[in-house]
Amino acid sequence: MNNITVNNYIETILNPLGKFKTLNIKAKLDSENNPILYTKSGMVTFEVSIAGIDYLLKCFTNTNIISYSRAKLIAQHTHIKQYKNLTSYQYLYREMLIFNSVGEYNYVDVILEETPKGVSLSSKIYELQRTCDYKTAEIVFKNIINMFNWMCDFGITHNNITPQNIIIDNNLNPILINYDLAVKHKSYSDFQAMASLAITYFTSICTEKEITSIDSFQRNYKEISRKIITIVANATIEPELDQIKELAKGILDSSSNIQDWNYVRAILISISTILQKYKSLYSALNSSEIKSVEPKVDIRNQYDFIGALSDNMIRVERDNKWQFINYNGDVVINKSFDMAYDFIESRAAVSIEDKWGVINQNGDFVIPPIYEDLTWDGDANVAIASNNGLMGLINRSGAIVAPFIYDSIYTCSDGCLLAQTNYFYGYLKPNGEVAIEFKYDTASSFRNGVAAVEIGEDKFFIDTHGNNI
Amino acid sequence: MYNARITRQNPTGFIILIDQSGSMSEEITIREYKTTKADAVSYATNLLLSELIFRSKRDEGVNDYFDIAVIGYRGNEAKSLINGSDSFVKPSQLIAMNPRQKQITMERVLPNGDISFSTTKQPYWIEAEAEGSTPMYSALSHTYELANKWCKKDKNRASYPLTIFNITDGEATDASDESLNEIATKIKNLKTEDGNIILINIHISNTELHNPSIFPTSYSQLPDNKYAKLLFDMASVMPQIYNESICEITKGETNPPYRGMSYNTSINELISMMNIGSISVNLIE
Repeated sequence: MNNITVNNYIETILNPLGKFKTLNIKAKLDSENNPILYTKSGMVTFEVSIAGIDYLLKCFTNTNIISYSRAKLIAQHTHIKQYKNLTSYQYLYREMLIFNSVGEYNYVDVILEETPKGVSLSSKIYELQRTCDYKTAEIVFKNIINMFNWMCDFGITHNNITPQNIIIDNNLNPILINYDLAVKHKSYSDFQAMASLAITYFTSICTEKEITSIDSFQRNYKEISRKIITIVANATIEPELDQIKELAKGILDSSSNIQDWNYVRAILISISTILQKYKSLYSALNSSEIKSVEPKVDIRNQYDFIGALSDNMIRVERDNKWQFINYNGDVVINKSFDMAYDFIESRAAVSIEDKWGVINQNGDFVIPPIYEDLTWDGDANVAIASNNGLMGLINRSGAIVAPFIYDSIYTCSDGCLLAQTNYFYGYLKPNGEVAIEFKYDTASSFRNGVAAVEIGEDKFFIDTHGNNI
Repeated sequence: MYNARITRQNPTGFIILIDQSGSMSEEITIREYKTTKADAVSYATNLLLSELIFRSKRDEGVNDYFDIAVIGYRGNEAKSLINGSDSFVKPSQLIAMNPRQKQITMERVLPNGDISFSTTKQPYWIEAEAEGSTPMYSALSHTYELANKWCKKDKNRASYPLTIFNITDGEATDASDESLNEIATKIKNLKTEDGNIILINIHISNTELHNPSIFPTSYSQLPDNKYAKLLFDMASVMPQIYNESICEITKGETNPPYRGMSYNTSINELISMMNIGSISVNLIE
């Protein structure tokens, strides 16, 4: 049978036949009486209702996905559909009778997913940020962490966690939707071993970095946030480089950069709050006590945006101008900027009239605002700046340590900054020296001391000294 | 090659060329219903356009993943059949045109032999027309200009290449075979970083003469007909990603590489070929 088109599904849903007709599905219609639908690769989703309850009806448009999904989903959903925090999910095996565009019929699988009542986490984050309602934020994220913890207990990884796929209901409970990619691990003991490893790894990093306060947490937030994503968002990850990107789907983009900082920030606010009291995420997960971190002064109506506390400074925005205030709400740098980022290691990147520089905590420029673009990499204590389309490194005192000859330089991980010049990738040290020769056709940043690289058709892993492993 | 993800930043495109010459007013049979070739082709084209719109619908709205052009050729000219557009339109623009809705009733034979009728609405952007001669060369020249501009746009540089359907029932009246082959070759040589443009020639006929050659692999599968061979030569070799679907429609009787053409095709087969020719929609990110 030809690939099934969206047109074919519309015909069937408006004119159901056979067994499928007995479900008495009512398609929701738009103002022109057409079914409300949306698509993604290989799937079309209709908004429908059955006996007054709202569902999403998910139909496959790609025959390859049909066979792939059928085998996978049937096995999985029989295990996971009845668990809490997951919306009701019915896999209807060969229940829909459908005719294709040339009149041939077939029975196909479809999925009915109950639409939980509530708002997406994205909307909730926006609402909580707007109202500075940290107390509610803590409850929401405690519930989310509990949910992930619970998923760990059952050996489930969702694999497509995004703010859009978490619905917060009226009781602030998170409900996961869209778990088409979810996996229930075959062996519980394997899963437990992975979970333990990941959590141990996380707590060891917290210890290593002396995570004792919000400040220290936020100083190391980049590295730690990735671990949190690894542990919390995907429940567990076998720490193998080639799996991280796939499993972190929805949070990290193809370059392993975080796609939605609002989501991460919201998790960090919650977890850093927990850490402040308990100094250990692991023990905090099992505790019901949470300490509030509301600002001492209510400043929520004074600014359009209020950032997180970082190096005892909070960046705020009003009428498109950015300033820095302290925990008491006092303006501590009497200058305003067109854009400003958080202080990390007593340095913050700011822009004035489309040019970027770096200030210290007195508000003085240590790197003048003359660069087209600039990222302050607090972990490496170096600024990655660009001019005339080429990039270089500048240290915290303002000295250029790597000349502006690179096409790209990425933020530091494991003491190395991935960079590209003359079509080849290599690695720089934060002091500007070449750490690993520029000879790779493609390369990734280091994670856990390992980077994936390619030369021609050869793909292999290297350590931070450039040795093949 | 032929695996670029389709995004709003890197859309792909479809150009549909429709022969609107006088012979398209001939009667044709679709599942025992009689209509004209022109009506049937406009139905198939509108079906594809609405499918492209559906594939662009996301929960946040319509994302413009496609550039679409429909060109009719009859009399002395080839011209855009989409109201008010001399170039490509996007799915969101098609929606905004608010076309007339035609009620379509289908007879469906159920597995137990019962008959059921289902009714849907089909937007009609393209209306049936049939008069005059067959200026296919003009249409292909116009297509070359459109496609050349499209390929040169920076944002299309890495895109999945354009797919062109040329639907006809007769021979060109405005050029020699050599000229037609030449312009088709120029079109096929246009490319993005993801591959060359795909040109699919679909020759339709009425059901009584039905002895179709669909996605043939050699001349031997064509009728002994100079024109069939010309359409074969003018068409693209189908990229590998289409093979599985083509194999399904040809029931595995031949082995790839398949040629993007057909001869003596029924309307059902035309719809199938357009479905196959547009499977790139599954590459939407």
